[in-house]
Amino acid sequence: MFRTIVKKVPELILVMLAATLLTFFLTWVSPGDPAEIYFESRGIAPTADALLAMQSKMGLDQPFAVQYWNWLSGIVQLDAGVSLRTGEPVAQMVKQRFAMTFKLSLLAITLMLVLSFLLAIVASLNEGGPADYAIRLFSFAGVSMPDFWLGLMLILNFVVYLQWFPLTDPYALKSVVLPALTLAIPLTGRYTRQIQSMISEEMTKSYVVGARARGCTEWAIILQHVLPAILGGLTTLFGLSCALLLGGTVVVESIFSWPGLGSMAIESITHRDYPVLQAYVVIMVFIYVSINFIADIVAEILDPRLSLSGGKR
Amino acid sequence: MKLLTPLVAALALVFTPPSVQAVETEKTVNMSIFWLDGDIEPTSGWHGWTLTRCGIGENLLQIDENLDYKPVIAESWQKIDDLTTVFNIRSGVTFHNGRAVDAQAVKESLERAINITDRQDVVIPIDTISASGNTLTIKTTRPYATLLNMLADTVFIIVDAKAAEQDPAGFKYKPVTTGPFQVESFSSETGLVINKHTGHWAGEPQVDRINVKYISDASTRSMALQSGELDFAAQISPADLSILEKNENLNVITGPNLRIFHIRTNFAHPWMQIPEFRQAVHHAIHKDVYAEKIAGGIPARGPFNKLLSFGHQGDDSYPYDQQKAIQLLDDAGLVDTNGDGIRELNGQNIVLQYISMTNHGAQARNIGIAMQSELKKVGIGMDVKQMENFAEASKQGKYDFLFERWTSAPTLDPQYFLESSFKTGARGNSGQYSNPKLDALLEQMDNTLDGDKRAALGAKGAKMLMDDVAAIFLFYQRGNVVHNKRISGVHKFVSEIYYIDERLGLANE
Repeated sequence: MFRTIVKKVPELILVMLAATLLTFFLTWVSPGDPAEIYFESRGIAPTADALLAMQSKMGLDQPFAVQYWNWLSGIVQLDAGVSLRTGEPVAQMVKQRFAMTFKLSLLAITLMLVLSFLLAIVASLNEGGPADYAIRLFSFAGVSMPDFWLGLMLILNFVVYLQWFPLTDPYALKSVVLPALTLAIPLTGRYTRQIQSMISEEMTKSYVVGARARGCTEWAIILQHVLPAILGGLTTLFGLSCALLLGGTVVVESIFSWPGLGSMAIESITHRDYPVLQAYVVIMVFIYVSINFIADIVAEILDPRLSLSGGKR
Repeated sequence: MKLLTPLVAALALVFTPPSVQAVETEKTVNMSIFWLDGDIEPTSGWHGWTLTRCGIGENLLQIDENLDYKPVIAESWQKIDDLTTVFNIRSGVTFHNGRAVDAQAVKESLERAINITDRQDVVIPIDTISASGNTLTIKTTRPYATLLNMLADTVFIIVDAKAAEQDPAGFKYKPVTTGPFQVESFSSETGLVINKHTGHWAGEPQVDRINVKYISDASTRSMALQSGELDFAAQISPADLSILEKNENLNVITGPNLRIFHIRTNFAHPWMQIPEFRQAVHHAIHKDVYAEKIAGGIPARGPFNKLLSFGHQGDDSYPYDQQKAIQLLDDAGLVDTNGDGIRELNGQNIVLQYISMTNHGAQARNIGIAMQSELKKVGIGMDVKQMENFAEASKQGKYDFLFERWTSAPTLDPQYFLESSFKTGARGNSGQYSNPKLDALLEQMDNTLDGDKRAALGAKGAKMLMDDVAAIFLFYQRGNVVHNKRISGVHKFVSEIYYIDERLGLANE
């Protein structure tokens, strides 16, 4: 594990650096003068002097390398500049938005894990029975349903008709339930099928036959022997799902007016708020790279054979 | 324990209540606004609209729901001569911090706005502002017809300039103004919480508190009205209005507002310089159907709504007539010589570029698609594009038609729109329209003080644009406000600069 960490950390830093360079370059070459955008986003027609002054204040009169270095130095010190739209420090915006996305993702992941393991186990224990078919149907439906449709149906039924949940107050404790369910249901569909097929495969192995011969119950075999064996295989998929959710789930956040990273990204694209957009991309890369790294480490802990084979199966 | 500390810190961050939270009391009203900027400093951009819409900021005078001037901080005013106007400041007005508002305080507020505003379109040629007791005298350097209109602009909301000077950073999130409601907290992401101003000149407001929620999505506003979470919302999508009208708890008020949706023409392109071509395009499209069926608006006959004294009252100058369009194109020599169904100019197929911005929504794109289909029938090709950043395309002139939305007379005067959108070289005139007669008319308007004459000039200028097909004026927006019947005193303002004021109350109290 230690060897993996030592090997991967420099790679991680290099990928991050390359991503920051690419992000900054793409923003730099994209059409539109950020100083002009700053005024336009406020509905103001600037004078030539005001435009020049703003360009100078933003450092746009500097060469690309200097601009990149200044920006990167800021990022390293967790200072990503100021939003062109709101005038707020980007770091502050990101902190608040990330907290909201984290809350949503945490509940969605928890719901997804509990539901998918439970359903997969029940389906495995009742293979070919009505419960198995019902769970399969749920899985297919979950995977097939577009999240925007599911979200709207949940709002229509639980907000408009039953009035169980609020829609306009994202900070109320109950507000997180519907968007989390909207995220969790399609994921549960996918994970249930995946876990069920992994359990079925394990159940044919000789150690399971041995356990049965020793008189272990099917529940005990699955919980004590099969689940620990399949966790390693799920780690990478799980890591990617976490990264996807933490990146901000744009559609769901838009439907529920959820002030998370996804809606922040959409707003910054609409207003060409480059400092926020740059920070968002850097955070995304950081989340993906870090979670992949953590997933690799966890997979090694769960399955030490990976370490012996140099990280390869 | 070492592991627990960061975990607890992370959870604390996630579950820490935000700065703006919905607070409930019996006399709380929940309303939503659909647009909110980064702060609410009224001298910056259009931020002041938030203050007037929520009953926080007041001007010397405002525009009421019938499009008349309404005395607010100024109880009355009088024009002494071409250069001098005297305002009588209402007695008993106080800022939210309790400081009395007299002429001196108003003078400080106006001077502050004039000095620091970043808007170029509200520059008033001020000579002097003098204050004595409750009498405020404004002298301009030249006869200036639109002084009252300008003073009704939200940039000139009366604020406590001393408080602003003491804490400029805090002031932009919590301005000290005079309205019936005052800001308790502000968040650019979620909205505002505002409380009643007990010392308001019109008496203590009936409502204690308003949660002003920033909800940009029209469907969310509509559903929140249905669930009872919102008591008031505006700009509901036309598709949802019929559902809300059936809800016995809600009142739906609709009517035209001052927004004009039009398609700007790019005169830099050779075919657009042929008047018959522009007329033919106008005749070829079913504009009224787009207005009513696609956008749920009111078909436009010019840039100004007929509610305004300078609005066009007549019929459409270019009604739908496909045969006439074909005839005009043929007469102009624009014919299809290679048989591919598209007419050519100098051997080049005429394929127009139609651009709209993503946040203009599906209706802008659908209108483009409808036009594309109808123009094809008369032998004109068109590409329809929707993009995030059309400012750049607009600046570079990479379009033939640009879908735009303007509030054409925000202060009830025609000059602003004609000048900023169609005057030769104006920043908003990206289509490079140029008509020396219109430019001369605008010069004349600059020196015309009489309101009726200005209206006549405005109508004349609008007609010039229509005669030239300077743009295709599609529709006026049908504005709407929807409110729960538990609240009262809600009025629909045509200008949509205001939503609620001191008249807001609770219906059963």
